[in-house]
Amino acid sequence: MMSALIDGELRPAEKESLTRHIQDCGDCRKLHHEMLAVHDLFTAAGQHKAPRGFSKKVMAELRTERKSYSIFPVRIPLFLKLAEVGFAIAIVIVGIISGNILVMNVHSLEKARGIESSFSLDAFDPAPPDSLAGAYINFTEVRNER
Amino acid sequence: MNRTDDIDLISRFNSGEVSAYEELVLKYQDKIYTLCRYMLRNVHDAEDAAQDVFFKAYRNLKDFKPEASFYTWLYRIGINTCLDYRRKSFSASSFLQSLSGGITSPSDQSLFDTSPERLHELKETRKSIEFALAKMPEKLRAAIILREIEELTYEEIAEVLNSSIGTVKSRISRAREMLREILMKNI
Repeated sequence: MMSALIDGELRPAEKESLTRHIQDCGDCRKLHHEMLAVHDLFTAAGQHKAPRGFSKKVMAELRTERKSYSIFPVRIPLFLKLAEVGFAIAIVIVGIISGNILVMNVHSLEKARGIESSFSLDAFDPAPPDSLAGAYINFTEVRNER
Repeated sequence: MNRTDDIDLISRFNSGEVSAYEELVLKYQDKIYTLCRYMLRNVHDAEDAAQDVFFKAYRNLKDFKPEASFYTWLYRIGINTCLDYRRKSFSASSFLQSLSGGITSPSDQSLFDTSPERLHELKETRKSIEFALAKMPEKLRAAIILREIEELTYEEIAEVLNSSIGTVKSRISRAREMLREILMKNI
């Protein structure tokens, strides 16, 4: 509360009560006196002045910054930035979809080949090479050649 | 601090009148520089930090809401900038300079028009304060500087530090207690 008294932040009733107490209490009077001394020290120190040419330096630096930004003098509106992002996302989605279609086509091609091979006339061979009949035929052909 | 003037200058700046910003810099340069001097103690860091404050304010001025108070907004940038500087640049040279006082620089304008006796007294006073402030935690230092040097009210300090008024009161009270202990030993 002593601090608030120094800063003038007490309500009138609080201020009056504390002021009366300080008058009666030696320790509090000493504390108040020392805190006021610290406060007065700050008042005496005052404000520093900014270095000479400070504002000119700041403005010169800001002008240099503005010039480097002016390579792209037109600020891109937000909706165009969003459109750009949307376009990029669309490209990615199209890529994913077309990739999926390609993969599906490859699978269907392989399926088609499988189906095609199942239609081969070799399936109707009465004596396929790996059958008993096929082996007999091969054996007799070799005997006839001899 | 005249809020209407600040709003008018900001409005002119947002309309494209860059010179309006220079008027804002001229208006607040001493206050911001003083804040940085007491927060950082190192003269060169203080000047750099003060410039950075105005650079940041310039870049973000378009987002500043006119209902708010410009100077508390500026002080908040100032405090945060000083805290960043302290975290980033604890270098041997700045440490040594802070030990030796770093009180005055050739460009310390506040000393140019004073008598030698007054000059000496002022230097000693500031040296004592800076010495004492350097021993304090950052949060207490910020609060007491805003109160004693910048003369902000408790509400304004709460706004700058993004704290409650109760917290501000407590910090200022603790800071004064610490300062009293440090400074009374040396007086």
